[in-house]
Amino acid sequence: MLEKGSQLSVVAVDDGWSIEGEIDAHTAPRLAEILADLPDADVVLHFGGVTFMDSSGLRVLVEATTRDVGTPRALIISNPSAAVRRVVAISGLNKTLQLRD
Amino acid sequence: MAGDWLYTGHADGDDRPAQRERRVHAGLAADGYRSMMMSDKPSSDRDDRRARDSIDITLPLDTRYIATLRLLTASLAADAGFSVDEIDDLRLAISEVWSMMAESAPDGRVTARFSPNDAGLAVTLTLAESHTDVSVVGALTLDELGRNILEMVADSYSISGHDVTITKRASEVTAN
Repeated sequence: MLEKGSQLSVVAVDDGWSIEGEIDAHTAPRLAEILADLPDADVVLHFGGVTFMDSSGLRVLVEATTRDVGTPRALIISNPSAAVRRVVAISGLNKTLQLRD
Repeated sequence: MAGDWLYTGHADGDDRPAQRERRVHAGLAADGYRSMMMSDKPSSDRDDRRARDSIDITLPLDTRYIATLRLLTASLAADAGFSVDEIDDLRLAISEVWSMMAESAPDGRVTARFSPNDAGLAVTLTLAESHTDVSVVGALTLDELGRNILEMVADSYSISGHDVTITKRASEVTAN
């Protein structure tokens, strides 16, 4: 039986993580846990399957990008949907978060 | 209670500075639409019909249920003639307001009222008093990120006590 609430699936792939589902106040803490444990290397988040993201998700991504411990790393958000592109753009985070097709 | 305030914004593509103004009555939204719940004068027939067409849903203010409210929002916005992008905007606005309320009253319940109007939809989220000790709930406040998003995706929003009202116009709806 599915857990109640927004669904988010995070699967490890060669160069990072493949993420599917909705990132909101319910699922963002899980994403934060995963991003906190990543090594100090550039990471690609394959976002093609993310159908919704609100400020809860943005906060997690910004924190993971701008953390002040460890060596700087790039967090690359790959293949974002129109909805994800829009929320990043209207939040003025185009320069903070790296989106790529 | 902190002063009520109303934001009147412009959709993307319009870089005029946002205008802010303070209003005493938060029920009066930017487009002149007056919330049914706050109406203090006899309703016209059209107001009656709108009131009948409004839909209320009460949910636990738990993050597990925000997906349910987004689904209902998408369905009602589609019925109201919103475009796909406008539906996404309204879903995002609802999510931001829910997150804000859940931080203030994590064990509460919230009632969402969807009220169609000539231009689109007004959605009011209210902390349900019978289930939530509103006396201990702090003022509802958005952080900068949440505020930026809400200003961009809603045509107007107002925060009054424990109510938040969002209005969203549909670009291609014809009044009937």
